[in-house]
Amino acid sequence: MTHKIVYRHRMEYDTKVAGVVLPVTLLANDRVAAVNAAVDTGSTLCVFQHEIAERLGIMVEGGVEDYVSAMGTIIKVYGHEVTLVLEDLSMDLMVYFPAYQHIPRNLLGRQGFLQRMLFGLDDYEGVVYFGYHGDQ
Amino acid sequence: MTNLEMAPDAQQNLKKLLSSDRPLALTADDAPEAKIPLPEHVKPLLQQIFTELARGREVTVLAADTEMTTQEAADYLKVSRGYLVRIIDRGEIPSRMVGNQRRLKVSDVRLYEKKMGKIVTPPIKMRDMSKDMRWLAEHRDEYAGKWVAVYEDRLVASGDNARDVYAEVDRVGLPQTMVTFIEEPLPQRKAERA
Repeated sequence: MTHKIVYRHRMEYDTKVAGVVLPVTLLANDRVAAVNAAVDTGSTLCVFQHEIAERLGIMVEGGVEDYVSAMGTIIKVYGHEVTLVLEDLSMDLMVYFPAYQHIPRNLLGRQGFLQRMLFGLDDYEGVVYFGYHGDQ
Repeated sequence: MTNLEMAPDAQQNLKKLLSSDRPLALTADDAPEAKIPLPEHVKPLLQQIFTELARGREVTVLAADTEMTTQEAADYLKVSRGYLVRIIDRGEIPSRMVGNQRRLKVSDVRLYEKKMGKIVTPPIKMRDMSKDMRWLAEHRDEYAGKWVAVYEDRLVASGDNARDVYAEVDRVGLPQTMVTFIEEPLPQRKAERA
């Protein structure tokens, strides 16, 4: 049996770095932050660096408390509503920021992001295909 | 509660009033002297109710600790019941068992709704960042462990902390300048590249 999925977007990514890293833009409080984030199917939440929250004028510790686990370490994070733009796709969702700085990367997890998307990965070519779920 | 039989002008005026900072009070036509002040925190709730009614939607006001069945929660979130059950099984929404059925608190379902977010029209046009990504791929080793600001194929700023880099970005003023931290490569990757 074969299956056919049509994706709206195609994007190349750098295969020399760990993970599928894409450029996204976050908006909150009339401020904009263009950043890089790795697609992470193993992460429930979308987690961004503390420094990005500062850039967006977000008081991190005023958000909804939650926890993420990374390599056996539990990290406290705080959820805030932002708008995330990837190409011409956009969603208002809750993303999480750690209380402290120096988290090395941003993660695009399932809740709010992957659950709204269809993703096709061609790691051999270093290409992702994506669109909204139900877009076809 | 359904329907809002109100002239569009009256709806607009009501919206303006409810979103203003002015203190509001309730009065009856036949007893204008008896004014009941409207608590400030009720205004957003009333605004939401009128907005939904004006759109022709049905409105039900529920206390946050009211419980819902999985079907009611699935209808509220506009997902299938099967999908909702998977979310509950993953622990993303707390539930309790009543007999052999799950019950969810309205407040938990509403919090999940916020977390789940919604698709919106992009508020800005995201610029094409393929050149930025290419620049990062080509200069990754050179700037490992640093914050960099890139605009197309140009380095705008680099440094050990994001604050200084963002300060330079603001000074230069290029819109949607990408700012990112470049991770140190793993030791074996470093050796491969040497």
